[in-house]
Amino acid sequence: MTGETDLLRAALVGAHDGGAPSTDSPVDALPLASGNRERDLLLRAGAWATYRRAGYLPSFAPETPSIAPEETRPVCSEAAVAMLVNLFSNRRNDLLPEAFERLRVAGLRLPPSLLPLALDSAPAELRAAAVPALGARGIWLAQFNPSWRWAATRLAGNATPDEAQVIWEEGATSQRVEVLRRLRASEPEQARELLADVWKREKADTRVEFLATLSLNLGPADIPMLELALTDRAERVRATATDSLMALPESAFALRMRRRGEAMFTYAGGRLDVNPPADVDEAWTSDGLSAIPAKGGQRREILFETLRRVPPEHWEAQFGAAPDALLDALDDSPWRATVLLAWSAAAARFGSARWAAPLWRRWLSASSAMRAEAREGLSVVGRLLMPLLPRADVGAFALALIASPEQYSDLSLAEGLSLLPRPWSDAVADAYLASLRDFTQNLQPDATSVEPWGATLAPALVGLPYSRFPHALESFTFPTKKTWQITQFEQSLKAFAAGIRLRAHIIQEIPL
Amino acid sequence: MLTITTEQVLALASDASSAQAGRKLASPQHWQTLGQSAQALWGECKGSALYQVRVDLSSMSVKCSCPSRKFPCKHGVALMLLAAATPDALTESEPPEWVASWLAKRATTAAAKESKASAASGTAQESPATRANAPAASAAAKRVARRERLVAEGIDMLDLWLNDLMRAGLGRLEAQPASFWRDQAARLVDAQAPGLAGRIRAMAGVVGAAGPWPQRLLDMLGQTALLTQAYRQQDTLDSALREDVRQLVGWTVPADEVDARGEVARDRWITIGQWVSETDGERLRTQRTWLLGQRSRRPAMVMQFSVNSRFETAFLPGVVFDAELRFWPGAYPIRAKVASQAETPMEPVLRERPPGHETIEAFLTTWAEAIGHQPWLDRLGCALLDVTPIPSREDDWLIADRTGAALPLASGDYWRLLAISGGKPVDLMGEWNGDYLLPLGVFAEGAYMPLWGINA
Repeated sequence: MTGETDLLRAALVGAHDGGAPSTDSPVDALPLASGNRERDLLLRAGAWATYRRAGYLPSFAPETPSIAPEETRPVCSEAAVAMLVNLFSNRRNDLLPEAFERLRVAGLRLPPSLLPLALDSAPAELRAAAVPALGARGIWLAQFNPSWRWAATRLAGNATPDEAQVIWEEGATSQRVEVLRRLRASEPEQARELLADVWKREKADTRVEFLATLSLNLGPADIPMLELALTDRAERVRATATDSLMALPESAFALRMRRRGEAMFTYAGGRLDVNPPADVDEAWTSDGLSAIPAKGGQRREILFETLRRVPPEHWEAQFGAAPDALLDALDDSPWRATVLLAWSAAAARFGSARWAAPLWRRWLSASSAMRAEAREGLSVVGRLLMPLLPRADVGAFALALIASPEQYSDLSLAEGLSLLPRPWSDAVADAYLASLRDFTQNLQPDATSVEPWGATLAPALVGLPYSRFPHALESFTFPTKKTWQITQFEQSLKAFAAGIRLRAHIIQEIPL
Repeated sequence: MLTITTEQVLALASDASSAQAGRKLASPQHWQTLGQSAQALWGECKGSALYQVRVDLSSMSVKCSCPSRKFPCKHGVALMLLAAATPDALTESEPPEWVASWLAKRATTAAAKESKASAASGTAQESPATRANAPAASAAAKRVARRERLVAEGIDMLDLWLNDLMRAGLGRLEAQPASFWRDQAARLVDAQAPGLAGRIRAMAGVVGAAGPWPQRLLDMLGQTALLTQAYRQQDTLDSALREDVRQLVGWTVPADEVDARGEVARDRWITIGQWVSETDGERLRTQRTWLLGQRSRRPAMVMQFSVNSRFETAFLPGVVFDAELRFWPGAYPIRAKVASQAETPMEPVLRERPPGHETIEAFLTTWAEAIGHQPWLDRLGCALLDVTPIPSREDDWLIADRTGAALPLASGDYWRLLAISGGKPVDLMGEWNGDYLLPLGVFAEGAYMPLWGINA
């Protein structure tokens, strides 16, 4: 191959005396001499280029990628694919969760050709929901593209034990967490031992993520490990440890929290007196409660941070009284708002269904001043309690709110509706649609506001049940003369109808 | 009932924005009076006005009452997407008047064109004997003689310029301004040798580029010199290669001469893929559609040009159709046009593996033979069976065959291809240009998918 360089060298510096340099190939023998040395060089270069072009040699392939695992789910229909492309292209992040959820429940996946679009366009908040629809192929594919790492993390979950070992030793933190979580799901003991082995070597952020995996299959056997973590230098690690320890009634930590709470209550003669301490000692700080501010509002914070860590059921046993009785006993207490909020948080944390309805009713009937004192509006409390509420309570709340949307200063109609579990019940949907229709029909032609109904279309779009779609799609009546605000609302209702039709598509194309 | 896939429709879209817009409209809520028959699809799309959209299924031509200058417009793309994904949304029925009248008008125009074409070919056959045409014929002969002179002078000038360049050495070229190449190309355009002008323009893009550009430039200069050498000695070449040499210099072959001198091949042709290139600074778009004969395994390339984004005939990637192709004359004929298409319906989508090369080595042997016939051959369509895509972070993807031989893919990434392959071998169709393969379509798990452009 020296010919190539000789020829090129001659061409680079300019052709001089002598014939064209040899190429050490049959090209040299071609009758291309023209009598002009520049021309000779060019013709030989041309023949040499053609010779190499015709004789193109393939390279040796590096290792080919691993083969994607077999799919276990069937692929969704062509019509569903077209519908999903539509949702992705229009960035319908409000409707995609339902599509992904239906795909998951129906046990369907996306076809391979759609995966790059899905991986590129799934917004961060929908990624976890999107993962099942990606199928084995999508998760396999994600490992090759750094911007799809969020999906590739799941690969660790599908790894064989040998692969998992490699990932545990060499993988990125998110992948290692996934390995640990998978192991924790099937072999909780082994996962904890794995964690204990590496505990001292990991960075604080990694310790936090690893420790959080213990919340799965949590048991008394985890207490020593969690108590070790409670002595950690990093506050974030200690806080993570307390999150698990408080759910283990047999732990010393849970006991200490109960004792601290008990010391703040006196229950006698149907009265629950509350008396939080003014200060905390060293032991509280080492229990991860150092977030308590040093000045003003300290007693309130100590009360709240203690009670939210104790299951509400403890107080029933402690005082031999039902939730309603205990809540009534608080009525005159100056600490009522704080206790209510702490118990609501504890009910949500420990899944205390029996406490949800009594607590919620008291929040609804409380004065707005009291809710203001709790420093959290109804929408925050609603997010805590609504998932635990019996359907009847949810329905009663929703119907009352729709009938009288402006009864709460700290909860708008739209906020209230977005708290409701989805899909809404038929009765709530009917009441909502009837009131909405009533509202548009009775709008004054000079109305300059369409609230509180204007903001309700977004929660209604995702909340209405399929059975009420025909009703939602019936036309709405508006005054003939109208302000631009009314015109805009009319447009919003058209977009709402289009959204309902899209949801109908999602439901029809991904049958369950 | 229309049985094309969403991907095939997207391949028809003139650009990504109309594909995107079409996708948004491709749901029944935007439409009314949706319908279909054996010949056509139609529907009325609610946009800023109500647009009447119709599609002639025999040619996938779209007519829409909207003011868009794109062909097909987003409404047309949307209607075809809708038909591909949810055919049930289009009721089988008799076309309404606004569709029927358009179809009838198209049929009349097509018939008129055909009779005009046959009349033209009739004239061509008679022309030597027709006295009335004699003055025109002699004027044409004069024009040709004048152009022969111009081209010969242009080639003399080019060869002198090439020699000067070699005397000075390629090392100095990096310092030359763009006008150095542009002016020489312009002189060749004036000499009516646009093929040679294009070669000089391409060199300007190579000088100073990344990689071993001097070798690349020397190759291009050398091949250009070989071409002018061949042109000078064209009378000694065999007639087929002479056709190539003249076309490469810039002589176009008029349609009637293609008909007179080009060979005909009848086969069931598979549209393996297509791609569109745009000429810098001009609005000219060139579409290359590669066909592969199911029986002959022969590749053919149909070229179409457009300045307003409409190509005369829509070729759907992945269909199979029975037709006679007429090839442009040459030593290794590739460029072709559809001479006559059988009445038998198109097979909508390729359902069986394409005829192709079992190994990369086997394909490269075909490539070598092709270069042996036509040394300036710049591209060849192919189907490579059982090849696996290998991803890369640096946009230099490869494909590997079962023997471990690899070919580079055109610079870019091919996530969709990788997703479809899942790490397993697939049948890849594309265009090889001697340096890299441009993937245009893939056949995997019993189905064809287009790969270029919006579908990449």
